Amino acid sequence: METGPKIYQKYIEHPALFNGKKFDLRYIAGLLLAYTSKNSSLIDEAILKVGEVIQFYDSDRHFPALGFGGRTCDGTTSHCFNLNGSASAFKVEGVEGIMNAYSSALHNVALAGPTLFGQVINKAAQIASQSISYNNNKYFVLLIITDGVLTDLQETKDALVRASDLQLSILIVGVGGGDFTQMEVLDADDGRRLESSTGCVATHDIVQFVPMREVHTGHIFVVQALLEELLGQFLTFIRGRDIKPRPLHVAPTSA
Amino acid sequence: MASTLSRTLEITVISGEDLRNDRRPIKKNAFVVVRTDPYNSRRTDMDTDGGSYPKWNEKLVVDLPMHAQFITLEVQCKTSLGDKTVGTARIPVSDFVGGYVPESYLHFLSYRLRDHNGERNGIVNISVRVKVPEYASCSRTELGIPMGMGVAWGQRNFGGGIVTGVPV
Repeated sequence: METGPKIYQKYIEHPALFNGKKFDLRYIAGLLLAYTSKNSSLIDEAILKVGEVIQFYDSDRHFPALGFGGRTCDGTTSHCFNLNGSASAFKVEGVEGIMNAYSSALHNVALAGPTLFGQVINKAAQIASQSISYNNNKYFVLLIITDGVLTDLQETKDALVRASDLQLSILIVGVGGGDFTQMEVLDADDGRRLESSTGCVATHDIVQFVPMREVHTGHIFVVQALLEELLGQFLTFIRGRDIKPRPLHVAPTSA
Repeated sequence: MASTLSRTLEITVISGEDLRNDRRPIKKNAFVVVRTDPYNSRRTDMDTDGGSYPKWNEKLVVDLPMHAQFITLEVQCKTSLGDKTVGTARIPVSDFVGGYVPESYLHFLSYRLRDHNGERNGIVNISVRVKVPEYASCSRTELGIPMGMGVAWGQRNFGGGIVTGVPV
């Protein structure tokens, strides 16, 4: 089976995309992760499956990892906290770092409903916005792994509509057998653009939803499912701003 | 004339989607009026061949008073009975000023249009960029503030090996 970078490479080498120029997407992706779930074995599996695909796109393999829907020791429920428990640093290293941060969170934070996406998406948008100020030229992917039923649909829509103006895509992996109807709404694959409560409309679709159970039943490969729309979203962003790819200097290596 | 503080906006009116006049898709001659206050407006040319999905791609440069909180976009249509307003969008200035992105960031924004009854009537797509702040005065002396932080994405090469990580 092809690994993530190879599949991406295939897209990238498609001459029509950039007038024949190749360029390496692996240097530009930043990955943010956010989880909530009590079912640690399902989350573990999702982290491993998704992590091994997506880690190659972050050149330094340092991922900001956030949790949401967690009750901390003082009894308050937070909908956006650093998964590693640190007050200031939210970055962890590699898939192993993600797994460690997640297991430590399971010990220190009681995962609790409701499932709210709004704050995590706003945090990701803030990180992406600040990156522009620092001229990082980095495209961000927020990966949300959850088994919860979304309860803040309008807040989430508002956050997504605002984020659709940024260099950010959001992958949502649903684990377990929950009702994910609302995730499908966010994915906007039926062509209906998301609309905020203030009348702003998403400029394009930035969400891809993948239910893990469909991966289990063998209908789709997780890699294929996750990356299916990502490239289109990325191209929409850079074409809209007339950003030209830099020629590839480093020979792509197989990962 | 009292000296005022204003921002200059470059608003590119890109396109409209699913515009209707009395529930029928409009055929042609749609144009957009951008208002920054009741006395100042700019308008695009008419679109002649896009029907109810007009494309304008026209850049309008407007001055926005510092105190302004909204700009208004009106999609109108020239008919035999005169110009008719198809739909209006009221755009909060906070959608492209403030926040964490550099001030000169090129925003791509879309808005729901509503007709005079408040019913949904299509979408308008625009891009907005705030130009360097300018202290407008009687003599129009421009204090040219060079852009330091806000280097536009479009002028930069994308990619490359420099990834310094996310600032915390």
